[in-house]
Amino acid sequence: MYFKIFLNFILIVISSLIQFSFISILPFGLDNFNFALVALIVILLVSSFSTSLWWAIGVGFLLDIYSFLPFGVYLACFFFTVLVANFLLVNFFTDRSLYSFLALIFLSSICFNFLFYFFIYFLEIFGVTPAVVVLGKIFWINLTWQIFFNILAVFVLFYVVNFVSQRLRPVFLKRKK
Amino acid sequence: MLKVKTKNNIFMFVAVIGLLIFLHFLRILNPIERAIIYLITPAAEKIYSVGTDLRTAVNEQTDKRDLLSVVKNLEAKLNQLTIENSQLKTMGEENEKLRQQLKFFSKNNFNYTLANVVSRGALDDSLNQGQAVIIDKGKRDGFSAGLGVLNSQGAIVGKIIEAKENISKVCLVTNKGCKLAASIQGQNDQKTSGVVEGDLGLTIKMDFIPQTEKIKIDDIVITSGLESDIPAGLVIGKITQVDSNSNEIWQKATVESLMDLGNLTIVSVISPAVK
Repeated sequence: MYFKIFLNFILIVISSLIQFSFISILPFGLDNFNFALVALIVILLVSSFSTSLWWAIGVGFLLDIYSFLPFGVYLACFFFTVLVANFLLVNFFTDRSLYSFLALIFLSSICFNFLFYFFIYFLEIFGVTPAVVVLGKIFWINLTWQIFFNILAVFVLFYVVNFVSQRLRPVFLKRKK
Repeated sequence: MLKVKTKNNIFMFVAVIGLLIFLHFLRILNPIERAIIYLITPAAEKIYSVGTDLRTAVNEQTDKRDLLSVVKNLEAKLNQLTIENSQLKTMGEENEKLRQQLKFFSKNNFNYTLANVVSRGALDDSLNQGQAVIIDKGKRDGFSAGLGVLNSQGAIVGKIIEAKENISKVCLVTNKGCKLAASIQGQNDQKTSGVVEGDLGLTIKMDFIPQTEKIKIDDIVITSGLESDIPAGLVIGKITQVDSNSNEIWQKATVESLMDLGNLTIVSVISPAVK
């Protein structure tokens, strides 16, 4: 039990560090990859809803510490995105196929970005953050790159998880003759 | 029954998030945040350094094709600079002798503090196209908004725009929101003042240059010293294009930074010396 908590804690720190220090320096396009979001969605798929929410809090908290946005923006965005992703997973993408997961990460990426820039825009109105051009050309280019790399990552991870675990494999009931 | 349990779970998580935000603004979480930053910043520096190496490798691969023509141009420039260097050395020696005779003391009232770059901002900086970096020192080390930031060669790369207790955000000179008071080192030691500002995250634009001033391509742009926290004479870049329309009151120039701002790992921050 404690080992599992400790392992999750270490993985949360590593995921945050990769997002914060590694992906941000990568060449144009790749620097938009939302590794933290992909990690949360994969956790939601292979583990449980509550584990994914703990991850959202952990990753959000660490990114908020290093962010110059008001504290809580990442926490709130990751949390609400996991809520939306879980709602979609439970009510629509129930067949656990590759296509469902790709659709799920696609919608989650859109949800995260709109929530994130909604918060920035909202804070900008009240003068908390400096003015940025939300929904401008750069926003759409970045979003496209982010969705592309997020989908690619989930595509690869789906086969990796399938290779090492039975969790994502469909279950067929056999009728006894 | 299951739905009620899930609902309760969600409320618990909302309460946790609310509590974290509340405690942060009450500064109760400050020691924990400081400890986390203290513990994970060394790892962040290492990971950032690996990312920088990877980025450099990719850029080098892309630039290989243009390398031959660049080498030829550089050879010509090297010859020119060797001549200039020998002249400057002679002048430097003369200057040193004169200073000794006049018992001249250096008026350098600035301190330089080294800092490591740990990130280019997580996802919040994507609209700025990565034209800001986060360094591992902040208010505790005496950093505040407006202080100049230099690279390892001593050229100015940007200035601090925001400082937290343990980290600071530096806008790079190519960032649209980053403005610096600058002057152009023209021929015959003539100096033209203006303001430089980043343009599209790629180049730097210098504005408010009077039409009467003569500027040309390859002139060096330096800091003018009009900002209290940034000394004069720090190299910003060189002019690559001059936009001089006679109908306009001011001239504009496009300035290119002399160094690759994508490879910054260690920087030094200039702070006024405590008297």
